[in-house]
Amino acid sequence: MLYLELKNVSKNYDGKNKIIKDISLGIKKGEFIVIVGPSGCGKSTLLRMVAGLEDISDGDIVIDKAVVNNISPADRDIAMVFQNYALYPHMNVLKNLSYGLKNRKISKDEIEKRVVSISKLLQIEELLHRKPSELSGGQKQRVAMGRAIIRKPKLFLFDEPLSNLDAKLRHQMRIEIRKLHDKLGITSVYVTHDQVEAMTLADRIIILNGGKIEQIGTPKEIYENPNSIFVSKFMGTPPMNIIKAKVKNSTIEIGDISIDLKNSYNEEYIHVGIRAEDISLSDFNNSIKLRVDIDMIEHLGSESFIYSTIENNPIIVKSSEFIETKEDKLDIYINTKKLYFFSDKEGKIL
Amino acid sequence: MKTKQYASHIILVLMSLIFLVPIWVIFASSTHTPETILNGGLQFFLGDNFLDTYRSVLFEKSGYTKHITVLQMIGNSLILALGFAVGKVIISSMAAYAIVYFRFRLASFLFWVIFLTLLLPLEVRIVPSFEVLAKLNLLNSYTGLIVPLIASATGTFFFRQFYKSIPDELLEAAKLDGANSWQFFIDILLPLSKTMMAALFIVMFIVGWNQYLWPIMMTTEPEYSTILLGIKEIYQSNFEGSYLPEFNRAFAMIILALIVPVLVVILFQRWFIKGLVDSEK
Ligand SMILES: Nc1ncnc2c1ncn2[C@@H]1O[C@H](COP(=O)(O)OP(=O)(O)OP(=O)(O)O)[C@@H](O)[C@H]1O
Ligand SMILES: [Mg+2]
Repeated sequence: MLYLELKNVSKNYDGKNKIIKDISLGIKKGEFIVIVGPSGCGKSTLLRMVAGLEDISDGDIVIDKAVVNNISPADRDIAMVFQNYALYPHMNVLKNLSYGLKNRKISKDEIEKRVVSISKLLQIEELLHRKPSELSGGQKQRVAMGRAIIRKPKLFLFDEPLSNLDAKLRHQMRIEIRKLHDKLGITSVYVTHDQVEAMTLADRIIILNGGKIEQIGTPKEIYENPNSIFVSKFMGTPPMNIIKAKVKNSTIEIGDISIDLKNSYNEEYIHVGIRAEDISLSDFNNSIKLRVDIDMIEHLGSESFIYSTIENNPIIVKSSEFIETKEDKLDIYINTKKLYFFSDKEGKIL
Repeated sequence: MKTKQYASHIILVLMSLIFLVPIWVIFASSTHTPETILNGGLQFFLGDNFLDTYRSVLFEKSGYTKHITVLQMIGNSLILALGFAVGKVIISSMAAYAIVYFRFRLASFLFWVIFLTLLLPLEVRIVPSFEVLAKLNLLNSYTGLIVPLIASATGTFFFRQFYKSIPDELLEAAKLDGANSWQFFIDILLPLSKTMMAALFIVMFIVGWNQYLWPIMMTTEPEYSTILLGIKEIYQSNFEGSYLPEFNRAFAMIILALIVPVLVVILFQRWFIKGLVDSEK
């Protein structure tokens, strides 16, 4: 049963350029969906159209079986958490939490009951009488979440809610958001450009590129079966290594090695993808050896990243050892079972 | 360091004296009898006629026609200044709200039209304004005294700038929270612009209190006379009249005319500074 459905939704602001291009997707009740994509690809626009803050140029948005195209944001029964929190600066936390309920004419007793339970859930009981200016970033974040949850909305929308926090707090809030979702089960759409957030939070990830859906799938599917170079480079740290290689008679040549292609392929070049963790510094089964030029080595304590190149293609190798070498060349072994092949022109998986 | 502090204090004291001494001289003189002033000029020290002068000024009818007490004149000035300041704050905050938050055609054109009226102060358009009100039968009324003055380009401009600095997300959050445009204005925008309103109110109150040309044209009946008109009148009768010039009374009126604006500034300044200190944005 689909709870939120987008049917051929398009958006243009100026009547000319389509920012969102004919997007269709369905989200099940209780799902946590993360939309990722590069800056300017239309993530916020899409979210704001669902919220009703932006008109829909074309297509339909359906929430809980009702087309909501012409329904005002308030009546869509949606809550949204903004990047800059957008708390009402002159109201204390208590009033921030209850403002939406008061406007919906919910009784005083009910409001108080909900405030108590929400503030307990989010551990902001102590802060109820403070103004937003007297809160830390993490606390503001909690209050913003509280203001959204307290309404018991049909749908939860997040627009990069954690991007104003420092790395540590972001990590902590990420875990809390996921826990909260598991507890409350409210259908959520979460926009971010941080792929770690996407991987860790999502039931399913939507990758958006230039106003179009590039791929939809669970984090595992997206990571293991990216269907384009774009997706493969977007997900995973470090991003997948892509080597552009010449194809001759169904054989790929990289450096002094060659790999046979199983399927027929008739473009001149092909892109070969390999993840950093599928490259090793020592020989193993099904591996082939490549000799690469070392550019730089980065030590992160538990692991090292070796930045290298082969025939002008950058390759990043991950090693759990502390690598020190004076040489400028290195032998690496890549797992031939874990190679991805993408077409040259379209960048699609083969 | 020390000398610098002394120097700045000396400058401050000197400046204050420049402002305060004339006021003191007027106050001191107002406590003397008319004869003393006529014979001895302005007085620097307090006299013993304080109660007599102020009581008679405040409570006895004065002016050519002996129709109105100074207390009533102060009342008129207060009505004018309050109506003027409150009206300007309300009208300009609402005008700016419409211009900034409602996407109607001509919004920015209208804004510039309002802005251009800065080039046409009351003095320029006083004759047509007078005619309009005469035809509406509003001469000699508080409505006629106040309403033509309350449109404010400056106020609209300041509110517009302020609203523009408020992040859009606040409006969107309020929309999702189910607030309609009226609720957003009352619950969110107005409280946020408290400080601005206080500032605008102070300035406009004093401008309103000091209105001279418009009341003098608008009101022919003495019961609408403001304190400023009263001062003018008493001076006129001092110089033209055949009685003993009553400079003590004139001075007392000046002092009384000062008190109200000073109180307003002191009262609202507290708000104003508080707003500046705990900025809530
Ligand atoms: N109100 C608007 N009028 C015209 N163009 C707009 C408007 N809002 C956004 N755009 C354009 O639409 C495109 C998508 O913007 P959007 O804000 O959805 O991107 P985004 O994916 O959220 O990016 P980011 O990650 O930087 O937040 C951008 O090219 C932007 O310039
Ligand atoms: Mg965005």
